[in-house]
Amino acid sequence: MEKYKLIAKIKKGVFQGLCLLSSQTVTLKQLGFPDNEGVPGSLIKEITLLQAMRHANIIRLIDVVNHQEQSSIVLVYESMETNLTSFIRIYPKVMKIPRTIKELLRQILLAASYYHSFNIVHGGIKPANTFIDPATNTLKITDFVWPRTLFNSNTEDPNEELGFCYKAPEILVEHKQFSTAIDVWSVGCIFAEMVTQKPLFSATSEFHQLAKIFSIMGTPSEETWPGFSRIYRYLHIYNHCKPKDLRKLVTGLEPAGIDLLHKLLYMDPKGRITARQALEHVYFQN
Amino acid sequence: NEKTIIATKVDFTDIDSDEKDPLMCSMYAHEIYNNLRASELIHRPHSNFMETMQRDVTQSMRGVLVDWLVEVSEEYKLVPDTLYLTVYLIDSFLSQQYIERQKLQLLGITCMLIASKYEEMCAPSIEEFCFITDNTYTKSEVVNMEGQVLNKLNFQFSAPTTKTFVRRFLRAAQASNQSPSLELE
Repeated sequence: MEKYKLIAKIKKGVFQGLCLLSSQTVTLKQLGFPDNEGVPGSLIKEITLLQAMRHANIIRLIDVVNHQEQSSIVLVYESMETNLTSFIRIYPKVMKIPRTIKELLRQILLAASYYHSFNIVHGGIKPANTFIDPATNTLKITDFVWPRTLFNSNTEDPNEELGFCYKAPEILVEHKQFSTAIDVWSVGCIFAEMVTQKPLFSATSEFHQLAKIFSIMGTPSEETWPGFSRIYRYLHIYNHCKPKDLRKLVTGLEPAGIDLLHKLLYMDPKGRITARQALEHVYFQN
Repeated sequence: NEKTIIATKVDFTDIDSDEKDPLMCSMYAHEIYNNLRASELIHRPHSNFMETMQRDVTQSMRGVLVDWLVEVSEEYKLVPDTLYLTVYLIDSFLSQQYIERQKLQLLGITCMLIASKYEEMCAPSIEEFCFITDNTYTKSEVVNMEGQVLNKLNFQFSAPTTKTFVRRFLRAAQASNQSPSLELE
């Protein structure tokens, strides 16, 4: 740890730091573990995998330090300042340009399809984890949330953005067999948010999130999502809603974009487009 | 002329020719092993670390250690991948860090502990590794050593080991057999 100097605390377990060798600013993520059996095997496997990840649109893991005295591992990531939430707030006019949205969406999809080619589900794609370099409009997704979700060691930070707005319906009903399709849903939510500059499914709590999704995308039926009533036994308590017209909710998006949005936000994960297929969509053709 | 024609007709069995089973991915075998060989060049330990880095431990001590670890892996019924990864970790560590002979066995069981955590469904506990050394080392010494090895090797455990190539070499050596034997791995 002597290589790094802590500068500021970003949130619980996440710090801004400085690498004393390269004078580079870095983000340090501390993961604690019980100290009786050394470093847990799951963490060793996880980190080995993270180190193999090299992609222009994924925040790079620079170093891993085993901080023995504190029974924790510190993951050292390259540091980026502006996430998508603040980017939209600071540059609302830039975000109004259709080409910017298209270029940013393409980069998110490239990152997602890279994860998915390793059979890895990111599980936490949201604007707060999506960073943009304002000088070049290069977008990078970070993954320093998801090792934590595997360990459940930290509770959610109350200051953190409401992550449930980007959760896919199959996650909200706690269906155990989720897949890479959950990331595609999150990308769809971000796509709509880049256009309208506010979350598409903004419920007041995780409990109301499903009703919010149903109210816009329509309550699933046997035709739109075969077998859903078996997966989710509380379906009958929800009112039957018809799908709303996304063109009216996500105004200003070209027809090809609306079509892609429909495919990204397809309720049944089996019918949802994959990240790789989405990159070949006609929306990106011109 | 006739001689060159004969020379090109070398009789060999193409071990990548069983394209009937798509799960064997034989059409990709060439690319996969090219990648693995490139990766091996990056990750492999130095070949002369005994002369350049180590002053106290010798080649024969390393040999004794590895022989003993083979027995440990049999005792705890570990998969062969764990054993080969253990040896890789030991050699990588010895390439980078000087160690006293009293600590060599500690390094051996610690590397086997890490390799087990990486490869096994259910890794033996630290106590079990201490027990097999007749409690020469304490649990905290092992945990401490584990930290040193992890930091030194920087969590690079996905390197190809001998085991990665042995399967293919055996397949080539037994090309005439109907079904490849896995016993030698």
